[in-house]
Amino acid sequence: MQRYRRLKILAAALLCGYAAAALVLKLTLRRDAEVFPLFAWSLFSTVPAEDTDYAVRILSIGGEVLEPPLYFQQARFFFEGTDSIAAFMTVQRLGDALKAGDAAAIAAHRRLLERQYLRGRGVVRYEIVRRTFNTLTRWSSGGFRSVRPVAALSTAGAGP
Amino acid sequence: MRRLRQIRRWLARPGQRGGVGVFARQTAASLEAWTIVRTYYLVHLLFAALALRWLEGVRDAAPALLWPVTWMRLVGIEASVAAVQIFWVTAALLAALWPHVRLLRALAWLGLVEAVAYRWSFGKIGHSWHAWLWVGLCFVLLPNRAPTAIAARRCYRQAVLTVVWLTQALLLLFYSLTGGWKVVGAFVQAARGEPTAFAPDALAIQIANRLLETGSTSPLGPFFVEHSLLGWPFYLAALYLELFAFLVAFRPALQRLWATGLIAFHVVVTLTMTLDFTSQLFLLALLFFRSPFAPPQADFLDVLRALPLLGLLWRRRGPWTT
Repeated sequence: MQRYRRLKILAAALLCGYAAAALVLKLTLRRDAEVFPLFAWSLFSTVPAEDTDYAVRILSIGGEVLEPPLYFQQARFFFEGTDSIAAFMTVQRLGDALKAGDAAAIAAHRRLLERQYLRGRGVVRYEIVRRTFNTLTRWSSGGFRSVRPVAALSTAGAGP
Repeated sequence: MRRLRQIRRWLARPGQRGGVGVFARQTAASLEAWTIVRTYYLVHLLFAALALRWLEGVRDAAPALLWPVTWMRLVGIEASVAAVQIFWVTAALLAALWPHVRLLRALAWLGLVEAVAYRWSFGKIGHSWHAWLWVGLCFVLLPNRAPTAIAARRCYRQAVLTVVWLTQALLLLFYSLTGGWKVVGAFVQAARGEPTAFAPDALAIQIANRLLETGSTSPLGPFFVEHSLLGWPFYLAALYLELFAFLVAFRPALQRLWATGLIAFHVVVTLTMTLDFTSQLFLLALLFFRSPFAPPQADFLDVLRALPLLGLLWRRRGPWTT
């Protein structure tokens, strides 16, 4: 019976502890709010009517200049994973790191982006751009309010 | 312990205690709970076998490894992933054969953690496996006893019921957190004068944003973006289901209704936003359709009266319990 009482207390502690951890994660970590496998379960918490994101704009692939340049999501003919949310989030983290000037984070996110998502096509020259847009306008017309280059990069190793 | 009981009764208010009737039929209820555990490990084995396809492309993969799998860098990614797959399938097979052995349940859970950690090591941690993973961790707490020993002793039977209740409560807590953050976000956005989760086009914006992020499309997504008003009631209903989900752990009459609603919610989300929560969908069905705590036959009025907030409309017309 003593063991069963301990189990009940453990169950209550797990529930309360998880809720508390979720609160702490949400309040302290900006993007995603999680330390695997703890997660605050903040999913679609705000409505992004007006939004800003970072994107990869590909300028050339294997020495061949793309005119006009292609966003990564449109380059499914060249790369795998263009529809991957993981690729999208990698670009957001790279954009955040560039904005913060965090060299270690830039190197880590860039390595993942280039080796995992921009691989297999020789040297790829690309820009990280910051876009602002109204979501429904972008959906209907594809237009952005602004597109601003943040850094010009290359899989050959040219720095920002 | 008394304080815990008071909290439980308060959340189950008005009237009905969370597990009323279960204690009277504890043996039958614990057998039902054990059936849930057995089924979990059979499906766990299926998931482990299906996950073998995660090996595809591993030769050229360049993951940013999460902390549970950082050791893979030392061993080599390809060999490590193969080892994890073999370990997980073997452990899942053994746990499916002998789910009453705690060590095997723990090993199956460890295999799952390693496989999932590798899978989410590519720039974004997905969440479709989190609930399955936490439920697996809770099941490690089950008594390390054979089913016959569990059936023979009251404290073991009660332990099985408590752990199964814990998995239900934890899963429902996840939904309440999601709903809670949406409500918090709505207040913050309302203060800024932005559209909120309660706005008629909130669902349309969420779907459009998600599909634009990935440059993908979905069977129903474009329809709900173009006809945002049709999605509004659905979005508000989903918000209600999510926000109050945790209370359902204390109001067993609602369990089947809530699970049905949340499963419908996941199906619509899959069809509109391409988010795949298959394992979570299965968990809802497993834990709540055959819940050992749900009354065998739920009276319609009892269900209505137990509804959070909305139940107040019916409560005044008569006693809450029958």
